[in-house]
Amino acid sequence: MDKQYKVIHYKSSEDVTSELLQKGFIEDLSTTQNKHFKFFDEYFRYHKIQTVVLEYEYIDKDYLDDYSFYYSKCFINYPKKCCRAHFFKSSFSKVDFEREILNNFGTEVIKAEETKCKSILSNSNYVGFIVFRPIPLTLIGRTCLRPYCNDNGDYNREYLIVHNYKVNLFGKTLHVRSLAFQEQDRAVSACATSALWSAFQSTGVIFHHSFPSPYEITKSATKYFQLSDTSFPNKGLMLSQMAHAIRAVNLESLTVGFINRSYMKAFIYAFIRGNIPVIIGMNLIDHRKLTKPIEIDFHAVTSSGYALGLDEGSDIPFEIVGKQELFNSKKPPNLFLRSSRMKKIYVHDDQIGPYSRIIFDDPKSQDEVDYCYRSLATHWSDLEPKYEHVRAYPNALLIPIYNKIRIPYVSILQIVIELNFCVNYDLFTNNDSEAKKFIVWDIYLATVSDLKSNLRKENFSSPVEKLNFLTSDLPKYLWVVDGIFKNVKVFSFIFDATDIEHGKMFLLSIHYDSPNSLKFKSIFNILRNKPEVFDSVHRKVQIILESYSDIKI
Amino acid sequence: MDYTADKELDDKLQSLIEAYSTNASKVKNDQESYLDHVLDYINTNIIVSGEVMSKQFTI
Repeated sequence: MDKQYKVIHYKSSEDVTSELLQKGFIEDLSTTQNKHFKFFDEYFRYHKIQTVVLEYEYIDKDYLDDYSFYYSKCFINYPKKCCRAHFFKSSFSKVDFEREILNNFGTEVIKAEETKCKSILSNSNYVGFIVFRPIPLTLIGRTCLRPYCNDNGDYNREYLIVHNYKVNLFGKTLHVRSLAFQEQDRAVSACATSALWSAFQSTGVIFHHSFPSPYEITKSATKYFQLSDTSFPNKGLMLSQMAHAIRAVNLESLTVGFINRSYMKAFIYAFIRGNIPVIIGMNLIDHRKLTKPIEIDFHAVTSSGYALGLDEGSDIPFEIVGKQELFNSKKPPNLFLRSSRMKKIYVHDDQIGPYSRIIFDDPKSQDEVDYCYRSLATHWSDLEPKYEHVRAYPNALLIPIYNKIRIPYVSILQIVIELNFCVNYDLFTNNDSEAKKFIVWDIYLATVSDLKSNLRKENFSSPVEKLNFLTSDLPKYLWVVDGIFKNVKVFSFIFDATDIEHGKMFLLSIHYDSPNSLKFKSIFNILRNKPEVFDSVHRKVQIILESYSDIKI
Repeated sequence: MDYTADKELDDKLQSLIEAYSTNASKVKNDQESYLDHVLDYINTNIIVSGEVMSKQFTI
C-alpha cells in the first residue's frame, strides 16, 4: 500500500523531502534547502502540522498540460505523475487513516472510533496540500494552503482573494479556503506566468473564465509579442505580454504605474476589497551594508490580501501630490483614506511561497530614509543567505478586470478629493491642515450582491431607505465610497462602475443610523446651499450634494 | 447607542460657515486650481515608464 500512499508524522519539511528522495522526485536533499522549504517549515510550524498523507501517483491537471506540451517531448523520460502531500493539524497513524477511509465506504465501526476518526480528517484539521512535480529543482506544483489567521492584535489580516477548493482524498471529501500557488518551472513559466496563473485561479471563479495552465498562459502571452529570447523555455514576460495573457481569458488588463505608497495602497485595497487580485511588478534590490546596492532583477507577484491597522492611530494622511508640497503657499487639506492603514500586503511570490509578506516599513536609520519610501521590505533576505537586505521597488500594478468595469478608480478618487477639499476648506483657509482629521474615506469596488448582503446587516437612518436600497435594481459592479467619522461609518455614496466616464456615475447615497447623522447633513447642506461652493465643484459632485440633502433623517 | 452628537462637529460646522463666508470670492478658484494641480500630478505619474514596459519580469 506504500506504493499508493504513506502517512508520516511531521516534525519538519525534511520528513517530507526524505520521502520524495526515496521516490526519486529529488536527487539529493540539498535541493530542498531553498527558500520554499524554509518558508513551508515556518508556515507548518505556525499551523502546528502533525501529520502528512502522501498521495503518490497523483495526476495534476496543470502539470499534465505542461507535461504534454513540453516535458513529454524531452529525450529524458520525465514522469507524468506527481506526489500530492496533504497536511493535517491532527496526529494520526496509518491505521487511523485507513479506518477513516474505510468508514466512508460504509464499513462498520464502533461509536467511539467513529468520533475519533471524525476529528482526525475533518476540515478544521485540514490545512491543505502541495503537489510535488517530478522535475528537477522546481518541485512545487499546485499548492492550496489555508491562509494565516485573521487577527493579530495590532492589525487585521484580510485575505479576500481566497475561495473554496474541494479536495478528494481516496473518496474522502475535504475543503480548504485558499488561492492556488505554484513555483515557476523555468521551462514553461517564469515568475510572470506563475503570478498570472495564481491571479486566474481567482478571476476564473468570479468572472467565470477557463483556468489556463502555465503553458497556455505563456503561449498566449507570447503569441503576438515575441522577444529576442525563446517563448519556451521561458525567461520571463513583459507587461504588454502579461496584459495580452489577461485579454486571452476575455478580461481587460488595467496597468497602473507606481506613484507613491499611498496610491499603491489605495489601488490594491480597492480591488482586493472587490475580490480582484492585483499583480505587482517590482524591481528587487539588495541593499548591502558594505557594498553598493545590487539589482537582482524584475519580479512579479500576485496579491492575495493585506493587513490593516486596527486603531485610529493607523490613519496617516494620503500623499495626494507627493510629500510636503504646498499649494498657493498653503498646505492643502489632508486626505485620509482607510487604505492608508495598510501595513502589509500578502502575496503569492513564486520564489518564496503563498501569503508571503511585503511590508510598508519605516526607515530604521538615516541611511534608509532615501530609499525606504520608494521601496518595501520583503521576506527574501530571511530565507536566502546570499542576500543581506532585499527590498522591493514596485513599478507597476496589473489588474485583471471584467470588461464591464469601465469607471477607473482615479475618477472616484477625484470626486473624493474634491469633496474632501470642500468639507475641509476651513482648514485650508486657516492653513491648519496638519493637525485635523475629519472624515476617513473608504473607497472600494463591490458587486451588488456582496454589497446588499453586507449592508443588510447595517442600520440605516430609516427602514424605508434600507428597504428601498435592498430592493432596488442596481448594476452588477459598483464603486462604493464610505464616510467614516471616529471609526463609525456615517454615510456611503454608491457609483455605477459600469457607466461611461462622462456619464452621471453616481447612483445613490446611504445614511446610517448614527448620533452624528444630523450634523453631517448640516455640513453637507452648507456645501449644497451656498452658491459659491456649489458652483465651484464639478457636476458629478453637485449631484452627490443634492442627493445627500434630499435624504430624510 | 448614545444619540448625543459629537461636539467636535458643532465646531466644524461653525468653522466651515466662517471659512466660506469670509472667502466666498476665492472658493471657486481655490477648488479648481487645486484639483487641476492634483490631476496633473496623477496623470503624469500614473503612466508606467517606457523603461519598465520594456523589461521582462524574470525571477
